Amino acid sequence: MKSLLLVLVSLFVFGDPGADARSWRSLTASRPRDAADSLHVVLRYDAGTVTLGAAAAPLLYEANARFDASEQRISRSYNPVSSTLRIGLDSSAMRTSHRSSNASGNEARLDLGLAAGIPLDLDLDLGATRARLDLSALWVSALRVASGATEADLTFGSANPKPMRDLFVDAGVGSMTIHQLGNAHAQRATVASTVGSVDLDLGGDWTGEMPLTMRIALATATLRVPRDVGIAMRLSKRIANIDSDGFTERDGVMYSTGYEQTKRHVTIDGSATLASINVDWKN
Amino acid sequence: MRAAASVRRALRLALVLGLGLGTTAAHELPAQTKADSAASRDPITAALDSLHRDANGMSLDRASISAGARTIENAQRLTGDVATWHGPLEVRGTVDGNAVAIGSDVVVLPGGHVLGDALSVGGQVRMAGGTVDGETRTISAFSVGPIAGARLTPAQATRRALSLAVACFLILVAMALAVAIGARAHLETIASTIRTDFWRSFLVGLLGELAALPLFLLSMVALAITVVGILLIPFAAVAYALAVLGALDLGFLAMSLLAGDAVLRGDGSARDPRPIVAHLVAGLTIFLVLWLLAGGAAYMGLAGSVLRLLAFLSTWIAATVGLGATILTRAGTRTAISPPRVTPPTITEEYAWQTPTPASGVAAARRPTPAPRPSER
Repeated sequence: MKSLLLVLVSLFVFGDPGADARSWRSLTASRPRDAADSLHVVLRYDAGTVTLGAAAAPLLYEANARFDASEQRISRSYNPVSSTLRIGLDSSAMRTSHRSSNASGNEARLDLGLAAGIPLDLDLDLGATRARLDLSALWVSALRVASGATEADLTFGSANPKPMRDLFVDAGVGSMTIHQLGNAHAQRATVASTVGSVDLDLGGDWTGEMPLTMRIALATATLRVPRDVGIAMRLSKRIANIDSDGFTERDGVMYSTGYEQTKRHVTIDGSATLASINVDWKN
Repeated sequence: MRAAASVRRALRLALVLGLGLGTTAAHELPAQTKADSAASRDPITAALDSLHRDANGMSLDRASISAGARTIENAQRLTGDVATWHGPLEVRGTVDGNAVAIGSDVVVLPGGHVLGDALSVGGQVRMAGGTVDGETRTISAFSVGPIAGARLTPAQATRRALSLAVACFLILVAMALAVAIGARAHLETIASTIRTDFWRSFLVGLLGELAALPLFLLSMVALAITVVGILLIPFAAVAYALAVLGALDLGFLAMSLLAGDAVLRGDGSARDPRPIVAHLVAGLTIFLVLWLLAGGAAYMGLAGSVLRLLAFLSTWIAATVGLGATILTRAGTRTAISPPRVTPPTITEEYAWQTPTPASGVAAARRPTPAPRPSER
């Protein structure tokens, strides 16, 4: 019986010889900027690695992608009338075995470069990906990032040429690290996380007031705040742990020490439910 | 020994059936594919069709493509699209539409101007001094394989079905071994309940299956009502799923044991204790054979559908009956007590005059009196 069971195991293991037969494809696409004066980007990417950065000078966008054509579909389209680039990888038919093997490194990838010097309206939906979004040198007029189980790194390496109209980041159940959020110059910023973790660096080249809305549930958020920044925090808490060392509460608002003396202020509102929020002061 | 020999025979049979059907499918299905390919058009038309269906391709007229290399000269202005098949496309003049090379490069030389897109499939788009107004695009090959929404080929479906059946069998054999070692008494109790109360087990199992989701939702809502309970929801959900799956598995193994008993009854299985592992494996093998037949016949159309239905129904009935018996015996921890069958007392002629009298409302019948004798009249 043992030998027969071994044969059955072998049959199972080797029974689907086509299971690992990938059909890797590559796609490169670029378009000259020409007269385009803005760009709206809709990115839907649900598995693999995605990077976003600046494109080479004369280009409106450039995309380099690698994907498994037997399981995935990557598509892009550009509408010159609305200046909208839609690009995405759909892995809805991806089999479980491939998902797991993708985790080992042999995975789909998209590198997307966007034109610097024109306002960009970015709408990014990331599923279970690793995302490196380096928005340094880009002029981002609006940004929406919604992720599922993504490990994302979002960097504002240089000051946005003009204030960002709206910034919305939902880390979902993944982890999101935002570097130098202050460079975004967001008129309205919202950061949300459910069961995930958010690491928020409020540094950067900015002055005045920074409004920030946080919606944290069953998650951990770490705020890395320069010492010359004052914080006013008005969060509705439900079984939440907020690191309040050095804060004083007045009229339901928690103020950091020396708030009145600082020239830069962050006003945080929103909610924290079963969450932990830590404030880490940095020099 | 004889039981083990029977199991070996059953496994061999299952293996032969599975391999046979799999091999048949593997040989026959490529033949179908080849037949389809043979019926297809010439390669250029087929390539244009793939280009049209590719998410990053485009639609081109057959007239726009030519085999081999092609050059658009300096003074030339071409209206519409231009494409080559297995030959480089050099653009020195102007192309009003798209410039495409399938299996080769698009080279845009000085003075060359493409007003549309420049696309290369399997080659490169090289900008050698010219301009492209539209998108410059390279795809390594067509990607019109079995992507989202597309159905598996019969060969893939067969292989997948056979692998799935064998995988499930192996998992169940592993579970059977664990149960035989750790919960033999429970398994025997459940099997005994199935033997004596088959239809009751089936009904209870059916009710259990119907109530599983509402009970789950109710318990989640109950937990959510309390703030502390919210924290327990993930754990409760996992525990509930494990409990339901465990009950299903235990019950199914009990049914497999009974099936194994039935198969090996003539092999001395009546002796006590019988080789429970061999009987379990034999019972599971019966289900494996059913699913191998169904999986192997995936490409047989109606016959395959009927076999799949049979395999599904037999497995579902076994799982349902097993679940019912598991519920009735509280996972084999107690013997299910059937409602006592009340046998009506034998009514003798002497007491036939008596009628059951409710507590109120009905008067007792009078005892029949014998007819008066003529002498008494």
